[in-house]
Amino acid sequence: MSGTFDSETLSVDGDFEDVNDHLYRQGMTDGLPVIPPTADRVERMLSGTARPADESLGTIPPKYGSATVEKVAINAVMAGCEPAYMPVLIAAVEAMVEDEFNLYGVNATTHPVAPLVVVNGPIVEEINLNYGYNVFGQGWRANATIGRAVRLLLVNLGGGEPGEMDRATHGHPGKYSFCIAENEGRNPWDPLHVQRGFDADESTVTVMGVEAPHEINDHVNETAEGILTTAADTLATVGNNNSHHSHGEVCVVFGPEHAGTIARNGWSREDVQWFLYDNARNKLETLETVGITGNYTWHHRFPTENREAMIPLTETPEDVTVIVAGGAGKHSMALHSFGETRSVTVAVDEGGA
Amino acid sequence: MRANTTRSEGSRTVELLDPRGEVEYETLPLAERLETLEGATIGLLDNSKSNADVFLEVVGDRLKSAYGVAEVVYRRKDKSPIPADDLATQLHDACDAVVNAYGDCGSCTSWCVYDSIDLEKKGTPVATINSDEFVKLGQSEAQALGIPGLPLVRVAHPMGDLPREDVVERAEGAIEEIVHVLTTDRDALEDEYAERFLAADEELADESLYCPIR
Repeated sequence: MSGTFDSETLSVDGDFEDVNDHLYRQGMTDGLPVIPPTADRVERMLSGTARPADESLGTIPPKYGSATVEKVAINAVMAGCEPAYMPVLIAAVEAMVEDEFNLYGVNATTHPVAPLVVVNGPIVEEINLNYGYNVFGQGWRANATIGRAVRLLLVNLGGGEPGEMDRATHGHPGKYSFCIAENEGRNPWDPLHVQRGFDADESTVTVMGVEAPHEINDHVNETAEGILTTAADTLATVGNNNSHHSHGEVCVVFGPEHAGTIARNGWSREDVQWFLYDNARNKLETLETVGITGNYTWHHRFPTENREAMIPLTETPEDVTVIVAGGAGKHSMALHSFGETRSVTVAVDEGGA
Repeated sequence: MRANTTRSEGSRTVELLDPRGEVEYETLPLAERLETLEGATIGLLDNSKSNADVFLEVVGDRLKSAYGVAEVVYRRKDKSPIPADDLATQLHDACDAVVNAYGDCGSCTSWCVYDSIDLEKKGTPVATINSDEFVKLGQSEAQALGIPGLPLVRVAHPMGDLPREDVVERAEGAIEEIVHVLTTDRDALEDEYAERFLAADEELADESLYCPIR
């Protein structure tokens, strides 16, 4: 055993099952069995990055535990990650601790929000992240364990034990694991990292504080306007935080077939954003009578007497994030956000140890 | 129970690295409290949660009518899950003390407590209102932000979906404690409030809402 770690040693008598029972009862897991984070395993995990183990990436609220590279590696071991996933995890932590992400709200709120990790660039292929069929579902080790490690970090560094400092009334299934890659090969527009100023051959991680994905099923329309009208109607509901908040983003994850149909009509990604901004709206009269009206004043910023006025979900078209992921089929996904959160994209530092 | 597990004599010890993050608390004192409320200007910070306006209106009226407060200054955050920032600065500049209402959900408790810590650090004493469901969260956050003894005045949960008369009753029921936390010596308050709710596991654990791990 190496004595080079800063972390305390936990001594547990017994076997694999006893170790798991101990960690579970101490509130250090997600309820599923974990790989015991022994020093040799953690050392191997750290071989996936050149970053020093004692480097702090920031602190994770609301408890503000220090997110050192070593702690990331320990939780990555528990989640079942490969060392090659470390750069993605490090980037996810760096993104989540940015002020505009509002992790202090996201990791404590009663709202059903989880940080979604979206990965772009060459690392998607390198670590075999799923971008296709069942992209939000099970089956790919990289997606499953990176998302899981993020949750363990929010619990073990952020104090996000459910009912303690994580006060989600319901939570959502993505709180077990919530990590996708963009399907750049089938994206007719510019992928997310390029939209945000990175080179196509750079790898990035974007975190967004969002609800569980909601289906946009359109097997009928064969035009951009038709599909996007279905998407806009799916977004424009009132029981979500975007309807009444003013700093939020929404995201649509287009399936490749929907994206292909929209692009075939000559619509650019900006056209898509403008259409959704213009059409994913709620009537002023509705906003003043339902949802979280009274708490929030977004619609008060539109000084009009017209009760029929249609109020957008976001402040600008750019706040409608457009990405492409998934397999065949005429489905897309709508992602409402926590509202008071901004998605953050950071470069993945791919230097291995 | 794992009836089929066989154990060798003297089971082995597994050494693990602790996955929990180190927490460094920088512990700061509370702001100095007021000697009296007579003639004071009191800030009322509304985080826009339902009925916080009613609650603070009653508190403000009672502070003026029964405790000699000269003036109240009311500020309302646009929404609850963000810091008050400039509003907190305005209240610090204009007021001798502040009543901050309230934390009655997760993210609103986070930022409610943050705003109080912000004001206390600036030197303005605050009476911070949390509903009993969220007061443990509030105290954990106060500790993480450096003032474990932040006096949290507890009211019943929920504060939304209540008739006005119930909100009025709860505000009136909280007045004495609000006055107490704004005018009692800060060392005594720190002794009184630090660990107060975190140590009260049984009292505050509602198993109809929180399913314990068994």
